[in-house]
Amino acid sequence: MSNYVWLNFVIVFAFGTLWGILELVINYELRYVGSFNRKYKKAKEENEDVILDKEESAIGYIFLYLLLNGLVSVLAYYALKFFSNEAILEIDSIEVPKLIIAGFGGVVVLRSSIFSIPFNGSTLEIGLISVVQALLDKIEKKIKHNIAANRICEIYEIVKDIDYEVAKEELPSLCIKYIDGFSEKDSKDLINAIKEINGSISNINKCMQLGREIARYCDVEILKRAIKKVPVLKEGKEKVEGQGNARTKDEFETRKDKLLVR
Amino acid sequence: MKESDNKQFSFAADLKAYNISENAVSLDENAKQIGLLLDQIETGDSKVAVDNLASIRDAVAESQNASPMNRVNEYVKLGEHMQFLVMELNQTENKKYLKQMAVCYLDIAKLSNDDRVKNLSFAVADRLIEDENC
Repeated sequence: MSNYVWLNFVIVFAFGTLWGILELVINYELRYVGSFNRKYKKAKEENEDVILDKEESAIGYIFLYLLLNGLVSVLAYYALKFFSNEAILEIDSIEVPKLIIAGFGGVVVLRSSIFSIPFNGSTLEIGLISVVQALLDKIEKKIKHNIAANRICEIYEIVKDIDYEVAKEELPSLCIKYIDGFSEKDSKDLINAIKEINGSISNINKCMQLGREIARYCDVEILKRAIKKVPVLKEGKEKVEGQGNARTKDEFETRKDKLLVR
Repeated sequence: MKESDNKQFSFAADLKAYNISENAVSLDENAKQIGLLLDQIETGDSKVAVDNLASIRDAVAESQNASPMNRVNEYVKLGEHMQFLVMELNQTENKKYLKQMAVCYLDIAKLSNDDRVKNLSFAVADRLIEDENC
């Protein structure tokens, strides 16, 4: 068996895998998968009790999906050789035309259905497409979880030191200054979303919700820089001992104390 | 003014109005408290003090039925008259009530989140603290 046999199979496998990567890159925000895994690793190293769960990583499903793409392309190449009555183990060159046909053939076979049947009000596709779709759905779900987990960590780091009562007015009006397409509807939606952040929840919870709502309209980087550049969101606060971060003493309370003490 | 500036203004004003209406109950309670404390103030023969007391009463009453933005304007008036009152009255027996009024006004300033009200509340409070130190 010559080296060309292996080489041809590897090339056709890579072709299918590449197609799968292309599809994932176009459809999903893959950067969050890497970021999630880095955060998970860091949290594990620092032995932190965090919300990140390894089971939520999309990496395993992505590998499975790419493997399936590669294998189907290899099978297509094998079938092409088999039905052309050519010996599989006697290849002495890189068969470019056959590899391209097999590569595309694999892609087409994997994404097509033989027929479809109505099932529970929807249409059930019979063919490899159902397997692909099931895998893609799983990947999408995992990626969405990864994105959510990333956002929680990201927003927490940005807003952990701010006071909600000060931030709820200062922060949104500052951030939207930097959004070009901020419409009248966005303005109403954001105010309504801020109205929803209420009740007896903690300061950090309110700040995270506020940060999340603003981040829907502007880049997280803008949020981060805005908080950095507006000292009033953090300054003038000295922590009241024994009360944790939720309650802070500000300029108003300092003056009230002085007035009431005398 | 560009359209984007209008939107920014509208957003900031809407948000401010919402925050004030959200705190309306506490704001009214503090304003009412100031109104009650006014009854304890001894004006003596000072006509200026009497006028300022009347203006503060008006501002307290007006603020309770006003729209969020007008409410802030009434608090500004209230603060200005409080400032005059603090300068005019320096009798020892009034200090206690003026301080309690200043505390309520600080709460109003914090809840209304308006720079003008905040500056006035700090000016009133700082004046009373300084007088105490002298």
